[in-house]
Amino acid sequence: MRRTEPRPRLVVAIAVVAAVLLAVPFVGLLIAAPWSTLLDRLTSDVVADALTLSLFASLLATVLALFLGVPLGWWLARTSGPVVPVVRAVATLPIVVPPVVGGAALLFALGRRGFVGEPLEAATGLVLPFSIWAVVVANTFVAVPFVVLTIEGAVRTADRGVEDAAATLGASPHQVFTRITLPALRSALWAAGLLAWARAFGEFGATITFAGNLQGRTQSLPLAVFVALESDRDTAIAISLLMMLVSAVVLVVLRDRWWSR
Amino acid sequence: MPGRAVILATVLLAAACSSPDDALIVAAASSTAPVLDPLVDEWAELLGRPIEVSYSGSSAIREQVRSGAPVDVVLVADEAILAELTADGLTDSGVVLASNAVVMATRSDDGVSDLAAALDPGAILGVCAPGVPCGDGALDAAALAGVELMPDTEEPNVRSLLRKLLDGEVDAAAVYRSDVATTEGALVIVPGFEDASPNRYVAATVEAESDGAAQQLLELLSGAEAREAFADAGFGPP
Repeated sequence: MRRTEPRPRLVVAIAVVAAVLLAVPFVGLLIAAPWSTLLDRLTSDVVADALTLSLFASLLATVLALFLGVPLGWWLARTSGPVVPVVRAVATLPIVVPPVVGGAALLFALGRRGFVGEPLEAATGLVLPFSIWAVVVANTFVAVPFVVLTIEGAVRTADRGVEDAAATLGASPHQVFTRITLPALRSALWAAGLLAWARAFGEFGATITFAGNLQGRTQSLPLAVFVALESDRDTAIAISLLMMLVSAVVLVVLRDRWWSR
Repeated sequence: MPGRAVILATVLLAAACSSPDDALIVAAASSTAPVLDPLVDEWAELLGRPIEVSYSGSSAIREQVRSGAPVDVVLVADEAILAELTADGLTDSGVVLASNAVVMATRSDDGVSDLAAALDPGAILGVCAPGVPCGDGALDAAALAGVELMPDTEEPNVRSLLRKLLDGEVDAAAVYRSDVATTEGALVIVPGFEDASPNRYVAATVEAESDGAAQQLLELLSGAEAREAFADAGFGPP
């Protein structure tokens, strides 16, 4: 039997209020849901296209965010000097700035008149905005910081003894990183990937600003919800439920990995 | 310590619940911003109440009013949208203020000179999303011109579309005639693409919020000064 201990009642009360506050909006969604026509609405072209696009873009963005964010998080944890706080601040900015601002910043850099986008188009003919790659870029941009912060924290608290031992035994720095450091970060990598994916999957502001909105090309699920809210509210609710379901499944499936290792 | 937390929470709650000022809130179609922005300060003084204008797509305004947003006056770019709100018993039947038409526009410093070039798959074309009046107008204009639109983006309102056109992200965009007129030469109209049935701008008071001041504001909106401002901004007569 579980040991019961005296609890600070105020803390428990606030915890209950917090749980209720978080649950209430979702209950509203469930109450407003058009249950009888739900399946029809979810099997429409618009929803199928947006779901495919959202899964593709958010998963690819997660992979990219891990690929880019893990080295940066590791570097921030293992480097000292005046430049480190600056880099950390820059790497955290996409969490803090409104996503619309992030999208506008991406346009100014990678748009057709942007300082990177214009030479890029001239050299390769590639136009990022209004393409699915713009969705991937926007998703990655907002997701990377979650990986960086998670990995930096994990690397800081990791035991360096094993790495030192491996190095002493003749392992190259690269071998130490891939065979000792990364495996030790396994649970942090799951957590980072999950946070990054969740952020990318729900991304709206940067996407509509940078990538535009076109069914089958740049319209992800959140954009489809936004557009449907103004013309067909029941479909908007149906898509919202779908997003809740996909997110809940991912959270439940990954929870054990996240907590238990 | 808990005592302090409780005090802090109470203060925060009180701040959040304190009654807002008695501003008149206008929900207006994005395309009317160049007309309303210069006028509202003067009108606020006249009415003795602050006026706050929230711009969005007309279909978004309909949904805001339907979900009970505390709006006093609506100004939408489509009579049919207001008719829906009136049928729901949410607004009165309204007054027509001006008209407008969707045209194809491009930057004046750009190479896109005719409709064929604007609709070329190599050019990036922006429209408003279907369901938004400027999006529906674009579809009408395309049907009339006998062309098919293959847009690269369907923007949620005309202002975000206009921004992308002015910034050079899209090469051509189906926007309002008034948008071209208010950009002071930055944009030109591409001939051969125009909505034959101009959309009408209608304003109405919202029943739940309506009071004398809202009624007075409606009179100002349909008055001579506003009519002149609409005409100056490139809108057509009511």
